[in-house]
Amino acid sequence: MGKKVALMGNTATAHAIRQINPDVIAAYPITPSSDIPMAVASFIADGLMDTELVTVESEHSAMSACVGASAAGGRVMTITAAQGLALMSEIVYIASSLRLPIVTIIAARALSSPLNIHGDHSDVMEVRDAGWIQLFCEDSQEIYDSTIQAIKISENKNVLTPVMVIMDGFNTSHSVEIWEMEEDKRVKEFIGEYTPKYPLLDVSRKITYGAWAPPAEYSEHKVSQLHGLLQSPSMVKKVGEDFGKAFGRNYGIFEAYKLDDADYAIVIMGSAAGTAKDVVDALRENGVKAGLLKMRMFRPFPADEVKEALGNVKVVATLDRVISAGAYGSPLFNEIRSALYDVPQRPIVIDYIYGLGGRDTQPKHFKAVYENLKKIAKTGKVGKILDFINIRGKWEE
Amino acid sequence: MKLNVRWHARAGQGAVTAAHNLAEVIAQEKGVYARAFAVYGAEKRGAAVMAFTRLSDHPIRDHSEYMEPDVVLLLDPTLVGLVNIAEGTKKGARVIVNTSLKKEDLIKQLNLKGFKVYILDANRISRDEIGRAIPNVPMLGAFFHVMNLRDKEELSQEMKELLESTGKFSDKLIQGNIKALRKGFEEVE
Amino acid sequence: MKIGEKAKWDELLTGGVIEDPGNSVNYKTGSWGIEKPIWNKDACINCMFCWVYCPDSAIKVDKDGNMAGIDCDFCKGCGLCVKECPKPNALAMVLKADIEKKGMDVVFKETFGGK
Repeated sequence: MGKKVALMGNTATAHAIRQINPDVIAAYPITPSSDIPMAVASFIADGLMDTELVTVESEHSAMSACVGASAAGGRVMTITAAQGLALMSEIVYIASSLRLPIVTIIAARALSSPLNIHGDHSDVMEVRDAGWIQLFCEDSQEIYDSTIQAIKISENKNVLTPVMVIMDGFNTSHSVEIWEMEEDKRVKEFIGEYTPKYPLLDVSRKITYGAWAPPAEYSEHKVSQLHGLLQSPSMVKKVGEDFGKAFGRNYGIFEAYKLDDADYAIVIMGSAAGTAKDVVDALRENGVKAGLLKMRMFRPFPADEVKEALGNVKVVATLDRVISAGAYGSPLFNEIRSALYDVPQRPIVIDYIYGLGGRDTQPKHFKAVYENLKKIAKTGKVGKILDFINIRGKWEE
Repeated sequence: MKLNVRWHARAGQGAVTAAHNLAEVIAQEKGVYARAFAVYGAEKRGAAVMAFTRLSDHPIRDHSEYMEPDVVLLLDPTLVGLVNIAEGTKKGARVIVNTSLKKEDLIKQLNLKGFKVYILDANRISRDEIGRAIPNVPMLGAFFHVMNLRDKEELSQEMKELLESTGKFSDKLIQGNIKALRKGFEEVE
Repeated sequence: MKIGEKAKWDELLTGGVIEDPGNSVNYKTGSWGIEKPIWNKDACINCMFCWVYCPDSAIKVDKDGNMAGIDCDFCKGCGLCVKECPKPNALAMVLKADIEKKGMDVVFKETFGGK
């Protein structure tokens, strides 16, 4: 059993990083994730870690330094959010293409403009196709646990793909919650030592990273990279199960909450999943067959498992915390609806956008979504495919 | 147990810290869960702030900011009129106010009929014990007394351990804070 | 994998790393140009500008650090050395076809005059 503590989500993550004690962290502070590199600097100053903390001049440099350190053979992490992730995005693609297992913590936040520092998934969705594994977390316990698991997932020889561990800015990063911190020794045992596959610093075996690939070569490299990414779901499952055996908290690629016999389901990621689960419980008490699918692994997207989990539901609402501007629906909607296309009795799927720039999404809002799903199931009339939760003014497509 | 607590204060009065401290102290107890958070805006020292603490004997999953408070702590009475401290409050909610006024006068002045009102001169206590008018700790002491959640000695010990564990405060400051906490506990009426 | 052989995607190394770095020496570019530079040793002052500017490290250098000729395995015939050479009559571009047809001696004399 771990030790019960009451600390903020950012502090929870910082403790996970302290226990992992990576070789190198290159980071540039940005709200709402700044507490993490600040805490790491304190841990180093207090002699609790011996990580090389590189204080770079921008997030572009942060990820660049991470790529160099990881290619050299180190265990490497970084932390960012919002504009910071956007600025580093050029190198985000390079990290995954070079198959460097860099674990990056993100306190997800809205992108400017207007300037906003609050929770939102716009930043992480911008890089959803960059070839990284993306794990969304609901609360402090999950961000702590997932940070530790991400090291094992990304460093697996068949996977060798970087991971983004994502919490909601402020909702999780800045709220004090009760969670269990495991012993340093046991965490270190769980993650084990890292043996890099192609360390640049091994002068006995000289190699080149990042060579040029003309049209006659490039396609094969991208297919090879994709193959690596697609080895990760089984590792996410296995590491989640092993973590459960070691520490008593199991993790999978998603959490199916009261879905088995559900007629109506919400699909959601991040901190709002907790609020929605309370609503599911309340509806169940009144005999409403409500359920919820909390996606943990959004990339790679586990389409087959989603089909199985949602195949028997009558009406599904996907709740996205981002606008995929001009697309036919938001990222979760697109994935879920596309996955369900092959299901014989496929459910109706509608799309909601919620919580942009930290807008509060309350139990009554989730209740209204389930009410709408019930109405659609009863009448068969869908109405709006896309709608917004808790905005002023009426949205007409 | 399920208890919702909302803190109204001005930035710099320590409300966010106190909301966190409340969660940290209460969570020492086995089987008790807490969540503390604040609404972060563009506030500067002196601006109106709100902080929240949820306490429960079940794990707290609700991450929304919406709350129907059982207890409202008002660290600066001049906020009344600027913010609606009654918003969403449950019937018969308790309101603990930092004031030097008499209770009857305060109730009349702030129109607090319908609430169970408690008063404490937390500014004076914190000036006496810490040297600055940062009323969060005496208010925390008052809260624990009003809600009958800890006895004074238990609370003093837990708070002392909490302050020491941060490694941020001098012994003198910790002692001052514990005195302020105890006075808040004793003097709330 | 040899030069010119095309790998299938599952034959590539993880991350596209290359295990034999510096393998560009196997890639002979000497056949690319229509023209190539010729060198008149007697006029050369060994300023080594040609060596600095050559994009293919095709200027040979002897053990004393002096110009020692042009490495025709790698010279692509870009002409940069000739453009940067400060000395008239030390380096010049000539048609490869002329050398083939007339022989080096004749082309050399036509270009630089003298012996």
